Amino acid sequence: MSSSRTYKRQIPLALTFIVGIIVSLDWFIKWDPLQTFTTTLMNFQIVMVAFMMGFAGVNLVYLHSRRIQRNMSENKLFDALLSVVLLACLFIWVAVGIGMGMNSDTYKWLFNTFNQSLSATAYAATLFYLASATYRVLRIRSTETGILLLVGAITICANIPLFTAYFPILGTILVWISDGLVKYSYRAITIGVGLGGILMGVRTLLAMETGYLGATEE
Amino acid sequence: MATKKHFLENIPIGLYFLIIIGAMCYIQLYPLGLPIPVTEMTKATYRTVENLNEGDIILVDQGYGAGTIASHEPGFVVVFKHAMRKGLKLVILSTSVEGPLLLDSALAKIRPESRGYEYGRDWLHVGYVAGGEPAYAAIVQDFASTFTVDYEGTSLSGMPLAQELIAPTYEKIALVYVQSAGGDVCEGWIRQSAVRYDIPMIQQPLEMMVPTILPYFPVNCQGILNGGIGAAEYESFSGLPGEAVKLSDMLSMGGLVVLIFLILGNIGWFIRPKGGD
Repeated sequence: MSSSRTYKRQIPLALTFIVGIIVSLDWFIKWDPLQTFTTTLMNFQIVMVAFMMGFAGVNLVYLHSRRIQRNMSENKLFDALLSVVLLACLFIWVAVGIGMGMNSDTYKWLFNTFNQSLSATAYAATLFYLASATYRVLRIRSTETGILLLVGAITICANIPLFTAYFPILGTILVWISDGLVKYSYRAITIGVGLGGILMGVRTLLAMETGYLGATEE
Repeated sequence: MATKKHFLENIPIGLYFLIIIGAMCYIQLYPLGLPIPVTEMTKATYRTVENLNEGDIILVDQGYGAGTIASHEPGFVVVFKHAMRKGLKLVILSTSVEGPLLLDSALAKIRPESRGYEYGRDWLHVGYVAGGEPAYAAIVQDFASTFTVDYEGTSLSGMPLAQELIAPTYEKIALVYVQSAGGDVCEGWIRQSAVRYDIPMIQQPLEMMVPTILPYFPVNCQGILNGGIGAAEYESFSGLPGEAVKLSDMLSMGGLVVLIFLILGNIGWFIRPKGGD
């Protein structure tokens, strides 16, 4: 029991503390060996994230394989088909990427024909959702929504060259909104978030926040 | 019992969408060619690049994906062209997985070789980098330890531009240019390069993300391009017209239709018989 606790809790906490202290010190102390070591730690992190992306791919295969089985048994054929398409795409992309390289004409063709077109279409489709939501939801029901609508309308107008070309005052109003309202209120929020981040970081280093370890036995 | 909605606030959405598509098609066929007013943010961005000296290095995070290519690619192209005009060097990486695959499209519009720009000496592409904010910190501290090969897999040891970036890299970078649709990427770069090492920075977030970056402008982020409109302004201001200028008419028409329907919806709301929801 004791070795399990050491393995699951104390070693990760000690590693977190040591790495956190080293990286934090590097921010304040200009010392070449420390900087070199910190850069190495950060490069470890890059490699780990790359590994996690591969691991996520494996997890995706596992998850959707189970989903296909479940949907087939429940006779949800269309749902099963969607998972099959996803897995087929995953295998094709991985096979072409590893086998022929990401700079191969085949990989680029796959990307330009499918990824780029579908991604751009999906993003462009949000225009219609936004336009629809703007038309159906934004109503002057109260003073607050009236102010919201007014600011929204000014922002839309000021971001459209057609209006600002003929009514330069809109640009001035937008600058006032951006600099006078948005910038300083958002700056206050950013400072608050920063202070919260510092507090969270200190608590994590001192092992007072252990949520990132997942569920561990006490 | 809810009162029946007025026609003006209940126009069929399909018709609304058709009008938007029709308006955009019309403006594509018959462009208005309106002048593009240039905002102070864009002017500041331009001046930041303009004030660099020949041979200075710009680190570019070409962190956009296929979804936002219409907004981001013109911004990438025009800043690259401006940098070539000034004789600046560019090191391109991407915090978006799709970014490296979209570079060919941008390079076809830039044609670096047309101005005598040589790969490895004047510009460099190292591809995708995973890892988020710690990766940005590692890159600005020691580029050579983070990247050993370029996107094509060629060793960086033989490339003069990569050799210029050996540690401490932050002393060699004159400007960081970040293009991303993610606020965490934009703010991460600000923290790790602008705040920590005082490296000048310009950014091109999407229009909706600009308020996230505004608190840092102009102290930590010397210039902001307001998405596709910002790119159009930059093209207009720098005298390097491109795709974004052509798109600005479409932005105008799309925005105009949305605004008209917004007004119609509210007129319908006001003239609706009282007692309704």
